[in-house]
Amino acid sequence: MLTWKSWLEQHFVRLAEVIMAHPKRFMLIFVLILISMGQFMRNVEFDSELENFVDESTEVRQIYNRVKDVFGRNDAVMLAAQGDVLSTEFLTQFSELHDRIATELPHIDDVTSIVNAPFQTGTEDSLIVEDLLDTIPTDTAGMQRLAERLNKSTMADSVLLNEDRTMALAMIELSVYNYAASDNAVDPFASDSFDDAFDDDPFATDGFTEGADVSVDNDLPLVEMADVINTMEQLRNLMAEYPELDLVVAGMPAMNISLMETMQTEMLFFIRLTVALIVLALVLFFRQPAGVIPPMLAVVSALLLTMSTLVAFGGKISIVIVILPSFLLAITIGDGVHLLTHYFRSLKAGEGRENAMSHAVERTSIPMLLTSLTTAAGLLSLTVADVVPIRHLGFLAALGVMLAFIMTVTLIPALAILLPMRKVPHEATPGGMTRLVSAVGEFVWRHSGKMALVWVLAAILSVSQIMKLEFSYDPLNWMPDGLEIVESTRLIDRELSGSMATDIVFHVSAENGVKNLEFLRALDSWQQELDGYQRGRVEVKGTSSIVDVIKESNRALQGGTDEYYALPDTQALVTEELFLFENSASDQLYKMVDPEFKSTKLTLVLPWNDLMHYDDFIEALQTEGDARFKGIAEVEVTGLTALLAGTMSKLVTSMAMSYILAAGVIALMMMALLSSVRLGLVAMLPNIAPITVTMGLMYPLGIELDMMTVLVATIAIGVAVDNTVHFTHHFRHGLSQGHDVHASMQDAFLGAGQALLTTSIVLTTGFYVFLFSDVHSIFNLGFLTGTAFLLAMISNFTLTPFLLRWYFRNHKSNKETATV
Amino acid sequence: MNKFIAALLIAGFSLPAFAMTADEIMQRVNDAATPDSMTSTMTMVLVDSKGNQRVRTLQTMRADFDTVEKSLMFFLEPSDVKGTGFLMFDYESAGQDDDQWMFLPALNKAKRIASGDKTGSFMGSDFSYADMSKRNIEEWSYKVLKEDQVNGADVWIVESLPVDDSVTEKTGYIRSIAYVRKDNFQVIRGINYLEKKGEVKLLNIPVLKNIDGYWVAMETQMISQKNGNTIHRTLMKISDIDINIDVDVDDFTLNRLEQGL
Repeated sequence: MLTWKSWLEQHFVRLAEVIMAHPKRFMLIFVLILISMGQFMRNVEFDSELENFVDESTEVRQIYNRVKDVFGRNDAVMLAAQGDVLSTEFLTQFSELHDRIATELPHIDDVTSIVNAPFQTGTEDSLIVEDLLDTIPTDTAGMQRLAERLNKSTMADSVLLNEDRTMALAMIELSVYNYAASDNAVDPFASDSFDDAFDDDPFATDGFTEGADVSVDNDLPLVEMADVINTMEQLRNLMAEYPELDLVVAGMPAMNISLMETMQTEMLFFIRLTVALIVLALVLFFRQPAGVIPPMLAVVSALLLTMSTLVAFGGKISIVIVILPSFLLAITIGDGVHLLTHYFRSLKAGEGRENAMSHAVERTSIPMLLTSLTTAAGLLSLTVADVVPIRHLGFLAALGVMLAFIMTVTLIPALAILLPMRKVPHEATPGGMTRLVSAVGEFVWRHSGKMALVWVLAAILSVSQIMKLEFSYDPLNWMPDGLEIVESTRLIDRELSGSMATDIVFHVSAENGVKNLEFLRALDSWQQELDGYQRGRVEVKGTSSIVDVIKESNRALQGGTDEYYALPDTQALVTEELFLFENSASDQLYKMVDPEFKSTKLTLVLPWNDLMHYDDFIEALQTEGDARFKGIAEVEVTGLTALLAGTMSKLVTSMAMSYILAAGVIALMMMALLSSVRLGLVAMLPNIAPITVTMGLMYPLGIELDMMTVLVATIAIGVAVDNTVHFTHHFRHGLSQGHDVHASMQDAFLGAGQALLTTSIVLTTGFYVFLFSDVHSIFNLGFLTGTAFLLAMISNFTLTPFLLRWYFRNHKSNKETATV
Repeated sequence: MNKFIAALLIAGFSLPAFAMTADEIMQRVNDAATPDSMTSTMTMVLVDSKGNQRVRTLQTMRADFDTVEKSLMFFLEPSDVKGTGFLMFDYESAGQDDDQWMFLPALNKAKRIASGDKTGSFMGSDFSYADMSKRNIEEWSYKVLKEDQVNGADVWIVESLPVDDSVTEKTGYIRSIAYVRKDNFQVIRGINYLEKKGEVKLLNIPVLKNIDGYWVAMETQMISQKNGNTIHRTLMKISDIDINIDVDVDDFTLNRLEQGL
């Protein structure tokens, strides 16, 4: 063994001996650390905001934030009421509900429905500007007039009502800023805040200082997930008061909350299930408390410390981090299993507890350290991903793996001394498991060539299947069918224009440039083409922009006939009509244009779809927009859809990078560990092969490559390689003892086989628990990763021996007999 | 429109006041002497939460005719809408809706604008159309909350509550508090509570001037707040004031509006 390995090994043994000499003192320090770090867990928060998947520092997120700041949030809550819309009862209730949402709920910026949508109509000498539902009709004639009015309103007809007039939509926009969080939130009458309000008077002195800093309250906190949950809870309570309206709610904020609730349920369920299954596996393998409690405590405390670190650094639990606890438990329990397998073996050989543990630490600490490092390296490669939660997962899981190693080599020795233990009978002859493993070793030795051929063919076939995989990103598909949000979203998409929105923002350089007739004509022409536009599976079912307002004003001003539903012929009239609208409905106008008239947006309403289908669509929009508005305006396609579609498509590339990086780093570590470049590379093959085969199963099984399943390769490579490290370590130990290749192989099967079988079963079981998940993506992740570990075990029992045999084909032995 | 100025900003001569009731105080505010006619240049500076400023300048003329106050306004700024004009008739009777016409030079035609909603913003400012009209005194019930001092002047602080929901629907307010100067029955501050919890509009009149015996607010500020955070503000400034000028009813007709500036 190399010097550094011996040096480290001796230090680990020494550390274990010191701990075993003072186990109570060690446990006290351990408990104190655990309690102090555990305090952070009281502040744990969940974050299901999909926009947070994209790093704040990226350009695409900054554009998104800027647009949000100017035009408000892009993710409205879609509340749909069902019934006979054109009836007095329905309209009365719906109108009351609309007003109560607008006035009673917190963090509401605006509510738009047929109750308050602006309606402009005109005759030869008058212009009427009022709310669409100015008065609720009580007779047939009045209802008929309202029906005609609704038909005439572009917004009502295309967005707020369905064709049959059996569904009415209220679009609830949440505030960008959390005004209530401010310290100023006091009654101006009961405090000095009246004076304060005028203290920073921008009008002081002559009042019109150009360029004076008159911005106010721009450091307000944003409305966050907790605020949205509060608003949605109150909305639910309000909805319960209107059962006749048969209300359903969809839209991104509602989706996020359902996602978060699903996350919480799943996380708790799977932690319990994983712990139960691992405990069961440990009971079956070791058959006594000393074989169950120490490794469980080691991994659970490593998990607690990892999660506390996340919270201590201000991190939140996202949909991706939800898998971390179960994932960590499964991949780290292997350390304890390896250590205890050797410990109990030494006990069976008649050694005392301290000696047995020292020997176990001596035999396993280096392979455990190296396997932890390879696993951590694989996981750390996830930190190259563009998606924030995946980066967090990579970092945290790597930290957790290293913490679990430390816990295993410190906590388990302490508990081995402290815990009462059933006497382990001295075993002179090999047990059943040993005989089984030995038989497997012999069988493989005879048929390794054929097995290697099977692996080669399977890998080739799998590569051809992997090439057919498509990336998918569909949070709706993450949630169980039948969940209210899933049903509501589908219903709203079917009956109305859709529950998603994409904004195309136009920037013109000159002030008032948005009013320019040439620009508006270009916008009008594109908007008309986009209405009903279809690309791939994406269909635009509704559009709205400032052009609609101008056209409606023009129609109303020119006498109300539809022939005037067009942009005016002269620049002067456009300017005046916009000014008229600005003076009568400035709030509505500033949702579509900035106050300097330099930026405006065209909103596209779309049904929910897999976000990856939007990528081409958004790219096409951007290219088309750049071409159409060249020299007129700068075009930016944004909104949550654009933000996520772009990022998720890049995720494929970054995950491919991550996989190559993980494989490269792990290969280097294997080379260092096995002290040979060639052997290091050879040892990678039994790990790459099962992962390739696993991914090859995806296409035939109809599993899509999504944000979860894309993690499989990177997670599996780092963990699977552990088996090879242990197996090769024992094989070379045999060779170093002077055994020939055949005998050394038996050494490897006997030395590592049992632990390898145990850890693989634990790992596979640990990931197969996700088969109980109602979230399709988590189900798939569990199935694929579990299968990858199962196949990795098989490949390490079949392909690794073949490759080692081939690699050491010229090796000459010094002794004839093998010792275990 | 300018009755707003008359009601809120122009009051009669200062009178001593002893133990007046809230109703008496507000009656005196309502009865404040106003000039029969007036011309002025009105400038409004609108500032949003990002600090963006927009300026509107109008040439205004107003006059009282029996039970109606008539106003004629033409925009001078922004320059691209210069000449756009408004003619407004504000009727004293609570039951009668105001009349409003707009003249668009490009269309070369005046149009009657009918808008049911008086709570909407006046010209994009923090003042609503309801703010710009005179309040009907009988639609509110009053209570003196306390007496205090503002900038050295003694004031009554009077709370106004709408007598029924229709008043709230019309004005947008569920409660108002006025700071009335004791020496001249001038409202110099106001707090208006909107229907939506946490939303208020604060009125401040920092500069008052006595012109020919009439109190004129040279500057009026209105701030819209959400939970104490200012989200928008407006300064209304009056200059080039000429009062009790010679006007007749023909100066406030559609023909006159269509003649433009």
